[in-house]
Amino acid sequence: MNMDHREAMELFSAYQDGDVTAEERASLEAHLAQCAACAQEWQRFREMVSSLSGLLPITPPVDTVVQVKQKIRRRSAGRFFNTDNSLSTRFGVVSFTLILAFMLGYLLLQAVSEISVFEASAPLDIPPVRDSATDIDIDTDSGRLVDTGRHHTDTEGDAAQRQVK
Amino acid sequence: MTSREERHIQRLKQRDPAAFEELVRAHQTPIFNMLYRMLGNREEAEDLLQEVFVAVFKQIDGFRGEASLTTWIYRIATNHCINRQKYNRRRAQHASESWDANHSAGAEAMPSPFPQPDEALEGARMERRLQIAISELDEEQRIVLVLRDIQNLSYEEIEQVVGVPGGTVKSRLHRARMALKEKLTRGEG
Repeated sequence: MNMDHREAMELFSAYQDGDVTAEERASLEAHLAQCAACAQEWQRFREMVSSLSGLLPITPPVDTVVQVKQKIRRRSAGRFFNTDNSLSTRFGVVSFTLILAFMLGYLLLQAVSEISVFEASAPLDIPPVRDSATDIDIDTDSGRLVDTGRHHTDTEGDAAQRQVK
Repeated sequence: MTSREERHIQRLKQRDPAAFEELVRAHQTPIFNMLYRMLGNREEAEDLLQEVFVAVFKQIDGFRGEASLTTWIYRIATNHCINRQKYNRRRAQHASESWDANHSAGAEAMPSPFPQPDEALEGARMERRLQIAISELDEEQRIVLVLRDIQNLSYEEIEQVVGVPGGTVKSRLHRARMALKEKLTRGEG
């Protein structure tokens, strides 16, 4: 089948995508082989499509996920993506409270057990109270009070003094 | 659809935050590129990218698995693009005016669209030329061109995204490619 310029160019897109019949392909290739103008157009067409597919991808903003979540949170009045009510936050608060309670309980138990051990293992070493005082004299040389080591006993003089009182 | 995808969709429908994060991370780059090529403006593409995922979150219950999840997200993104461009048109904002020059730093004004081999594909310059020409295409043509030639979707996937028969997709694509070639050729002279 012979084709003209217009028919040839009508097939460019399908030919580019491999979407032509064997007959169309043969006719177009025969036309391009003998028509310099169409061959040049085809060359430009091919280069253009190749340039489009060769465009480098553009990177979206790194905070897209965060921005989208914030937008949803605002528009849902905090129903979604609300960090204060999120499961992880609630879990964190509960965990913290439990740990704090456990630590306080542990400290309390420690304190109680330390008091018990102290009482059981270290009785107070209080010297026995003497049932009578020792006599004290005055050292005439130095003028200081001196414990004589002798136990004071009730004398007749003491009893007479109590009676006077 | 694999059982893993089914489980993921189930988690999305239960509004599982981790599943949603996974979805955004997996699809943000292709969807962002599609939006950028359609709009030609990075800021606007960034804003619309967020809106697309907000819509996905809201509408996930309506996903019935007739198409793939990726195709479904592309459809949402396409609809957002169309709406945004309508809005922009109302504000008399021409697409080529909003081309983001920041993206192609160092680009010069309209050099030859078909460079000689010794200067072939100087990244930023070629990209700028292409982006301007894409922005000037008719909206219907631009969508199929971006989905097919940049995003590399199949005809079948484009049918599902755009919601038109395969024959219409092919004819729109052909017209889009020829129109783009003409624009680039005109820019050469």
